[in-house]
Amino acid sequence: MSHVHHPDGRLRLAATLVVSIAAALTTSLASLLAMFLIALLVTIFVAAKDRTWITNVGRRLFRVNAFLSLVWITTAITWRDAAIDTSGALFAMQMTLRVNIVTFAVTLLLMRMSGVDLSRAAVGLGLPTALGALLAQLVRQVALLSETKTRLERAMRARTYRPAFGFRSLHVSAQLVAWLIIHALARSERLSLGLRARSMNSLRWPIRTSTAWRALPKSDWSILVAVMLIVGLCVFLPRLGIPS
Amino acid sequence: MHIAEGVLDIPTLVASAACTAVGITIGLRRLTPETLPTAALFAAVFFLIGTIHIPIGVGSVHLILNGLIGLVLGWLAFPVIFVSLALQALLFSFGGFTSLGANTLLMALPAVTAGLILRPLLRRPPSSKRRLLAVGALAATIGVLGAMLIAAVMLWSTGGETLLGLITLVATAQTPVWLIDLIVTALAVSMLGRARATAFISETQRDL
Repeated sequence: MSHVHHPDGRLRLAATLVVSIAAALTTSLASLLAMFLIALLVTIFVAAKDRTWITNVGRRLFRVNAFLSLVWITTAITWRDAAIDTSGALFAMQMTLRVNIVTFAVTLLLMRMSGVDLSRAAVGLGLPTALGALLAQLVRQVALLSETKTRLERAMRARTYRPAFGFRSLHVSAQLVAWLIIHALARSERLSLGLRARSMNSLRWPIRTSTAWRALPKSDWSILVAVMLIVGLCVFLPRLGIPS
Repeated sequence: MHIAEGVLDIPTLVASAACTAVGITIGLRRLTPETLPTAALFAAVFFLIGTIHIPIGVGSVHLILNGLIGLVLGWLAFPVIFVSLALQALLFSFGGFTSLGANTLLMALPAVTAGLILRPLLRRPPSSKRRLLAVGALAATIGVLGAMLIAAVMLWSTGGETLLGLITLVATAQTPVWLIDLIVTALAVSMLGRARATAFISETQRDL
């Protein structure tokens, strides 16, 4: 067990879902702007403490905002008249704020969460155990198969292959795909034989149970409560007299 | 192909999540604790396939290959794509958690359709090279164009006329992806069909 305490994954995932759903349901610009500014401030605060984290957040933000630039180009401008489309601009602004809020929330709340942690958290929140077990196993198999992929790519490079746009690249990529599937088939046959040889006939899904809700420390709950309070405050901002 | 979180409205998200839940329920019927490692292996293969990039000019496109997933996995494509997308959302912020249902539906429904339509053509090996190439090309076409169509419907139900320009732009940008997917899937199916014809046998006939 790690000596670094991380809040319970279920609460972190639940808090992320609360933010995502609230952002998707909110149409008021004032509420969305408030949520965005709070998320931005918290991100800056965390990034100032941990510089290694900045690249990760920057990459994620660049990716989502590249897509959002397409939304602005296609919805906020009427190209025929070269004029701003007010309703389109409002729609693009809402979408921009929503997408950025959710990206900040996912990055902040699920920071340093592994795939196995995610599967346990998701099962703890009601995801079928079979899916949780599949997700946990996927993380393990990705680690194993990525080694195979790296070996295959190294072998390709040793034969002077360099990816470029052309039929040869497509042909080599198809070979890589076929080889990966054949490797997976061969490995699954070995696994199946190994399990049968050990008379494995398990009827239980291999996933650990989570800590009881009541046993969780209050500090863990404080994250979910704080997120719900902030989101609630932002959503009710227009009703407090602040114009949207 | 992912729809970012916060783009779709709540009715669209709920409707697509409900459709995905039905698909996952059917897919999970084929999953047992014994077949779990095999299913996870295929999920890992398709997770890794998404990291293969083909350079085009100064940029690059990544392979989707959902048609090939459907050919190999059938209904299991739903749970396998769901967990792969969940992991991508966590690790790379591709898509997101509330849009997971929508993204799974747009990738998995065409995959399953391709599997249901085209797998019977591969059931009796050995298939000729020409047939394997044709099946691969058709699977990619159903996979990518189906995903594009579902994404367009989802965006239309969210923004209507406002998002028409975006839908056109996304569809245009996906055309080279479709062509690349078509060639790679056709070649991969042809190679797989000759090296391991059992790869396309129905999951009820295999362990999976």
